[in-house]
Amino acid sequence: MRLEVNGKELNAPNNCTVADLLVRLERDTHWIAVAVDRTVIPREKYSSLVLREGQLVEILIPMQGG
Amino acid sequence: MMRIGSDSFKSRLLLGSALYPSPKIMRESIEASETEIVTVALRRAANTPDCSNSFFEILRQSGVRLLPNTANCLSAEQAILTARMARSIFQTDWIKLEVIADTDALNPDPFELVSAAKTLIAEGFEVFPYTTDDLAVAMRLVDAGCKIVMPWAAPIGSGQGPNNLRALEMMRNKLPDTMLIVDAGLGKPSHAAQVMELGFDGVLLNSAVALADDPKGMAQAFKLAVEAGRLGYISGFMHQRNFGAPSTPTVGTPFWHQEDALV
Repeated sequence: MRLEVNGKELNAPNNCTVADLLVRLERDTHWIAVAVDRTVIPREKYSSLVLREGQLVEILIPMQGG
Repeated sequence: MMRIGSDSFKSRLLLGSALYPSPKIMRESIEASETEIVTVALRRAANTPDCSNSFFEILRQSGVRLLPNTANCLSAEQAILTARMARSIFQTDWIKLEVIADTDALNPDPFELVSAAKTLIAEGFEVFPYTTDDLAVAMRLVDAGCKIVMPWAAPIGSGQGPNNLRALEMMRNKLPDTMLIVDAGLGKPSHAAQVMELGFDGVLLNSAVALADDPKGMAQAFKLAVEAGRLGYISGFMHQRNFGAPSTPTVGTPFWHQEDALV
């Protein structure tokens, strides 16, 4: 299925969870935040939330700021 | 001591983490400033494996309290989602709420700001709203439940110093029970001292330190200026006079001074 991850199209297997996606992106789950279709996903739901075709996924990390 | 919620802070200087020549200089500047609160932002992660995030490791190790911001948000909706994601990452209810109206001027959008503040306060956030020096907007933010208001001194990153001291002074006088922190536009330590002398509770700055020739030295200079301004304010200033008044006693003035006076 196709997802839009941080503004870019990305192919992922069906029944891919948020946790699966993070593994696929080789991204540590510490110090990140994930939103799916503009809803923030609590860390404890990463393994259970199954993503669906066409969903918008935002993955944010810390950055320098004023 | 500066109290925010249930926490107390010795330093009244809040520092940004951006624009330093290197993470090492950022760390040295934070240490020299003796700040206890540092602002951070969020960005999209690249769709590639983790790369080192040395600036953030340094911040974590420094033990400072992190104040995430909603920089670059152009609507209440964007700012609210960013704040929720910041809470998810940093495990803090603190949010420096920025909603800008224009990407060049970076001036706050007061309408969207107040709207976002209402929503976030209802969700339990401690909102630090970045606003202009307009008293009406500050009052609406307080009405919305903000315990802290952060008026600008001048546009972000301009280094102009306070453009309207009268407006800041009026805000201080009209909102005596609100924590007021001047955020943005300061360029020199004397600017920080000026607003602290008005009774502001603190200052937040970034560019003035990070873009100095010697950020570490400038961080220390701002620390001293904030302390000097605060101590001056709480010590009570003398009343201004329209004319000169001798500080040296005139009792026992030698006779030749009296002769001069008769000429």
